[in-house]
Amino acid sequence: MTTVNPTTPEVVPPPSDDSWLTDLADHGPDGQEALRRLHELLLRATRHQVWRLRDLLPGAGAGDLEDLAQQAAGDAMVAVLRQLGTFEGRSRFTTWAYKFGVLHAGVAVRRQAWRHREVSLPDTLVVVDGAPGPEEHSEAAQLARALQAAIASELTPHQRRVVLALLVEQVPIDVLADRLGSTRNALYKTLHDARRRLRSALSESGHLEPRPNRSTP
Amino acid sequence: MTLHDSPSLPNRAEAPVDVRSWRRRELIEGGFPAPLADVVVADPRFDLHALLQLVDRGCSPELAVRILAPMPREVAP
Repeated sequence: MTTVNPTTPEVVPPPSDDSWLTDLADHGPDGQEALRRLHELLLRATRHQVWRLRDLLPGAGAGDLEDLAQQAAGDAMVAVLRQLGTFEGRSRFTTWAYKFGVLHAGVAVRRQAWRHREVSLPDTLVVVDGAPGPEEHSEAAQLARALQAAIASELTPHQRRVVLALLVEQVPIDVLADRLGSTRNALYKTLHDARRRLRSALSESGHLEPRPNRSTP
Repeated sequence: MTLHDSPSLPNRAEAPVDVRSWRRRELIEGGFPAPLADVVVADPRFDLHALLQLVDRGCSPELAVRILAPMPREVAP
């Protein structure tokens, strides 16, 4: 086993978190160099994630994947720089930034995969097997019918369409947010509210155990 | 199967026509009159989710559009 002497001149220590933050705020050559290093880091992240998700893009060649990785790295770079002030040092800066690359690459791949696909916002939940099943399945069938009824009666029309698109049609949330010109957080909020309404309705009808209210002050 | 209809990746500043049609259809199904839906889809800055949520809560489509109209000075992305 060999060891590296930290005083060896060839070994360049990685920049500390503080120097990342200082350099990225610099408008001179240090800033340019930090931006170049950040882009390099993000490109590594996006290339890795795009390659990992390549099965979602069956027709994509190496050039297409590289285009996506480059585009996602650019988007991630903008996001990192915009949110630089929110870095709290709970992980290393490079770890924190790398996650932006992974996230933006995932969004880019899913957006591309769904680009030419119909995004269905159905208005009704169709239970495929609505017929009474064997004894051991009857409870599940009742729950499915109760859920179908709750979705029809407890949710607002748009809430219902969002829930069915995300939970039944499996439309990725960032794809739907993109189509609607909205944000993932807004859709998560809608989903959360809808789930709460459905859970409450199913509890009242005796199909679910009531859950203790954790938000009670 | 090829990934792209065009050799380059889409320019996100311009919503493809099929997305505009999709947005128009969703608005009309959400109760928007067609002329108002046309106004909304002409500006990609409108947040359809927010518009449809307001309508869900009893707001008229016309008022929802007035409430959520993008600021005039905003530059489209």
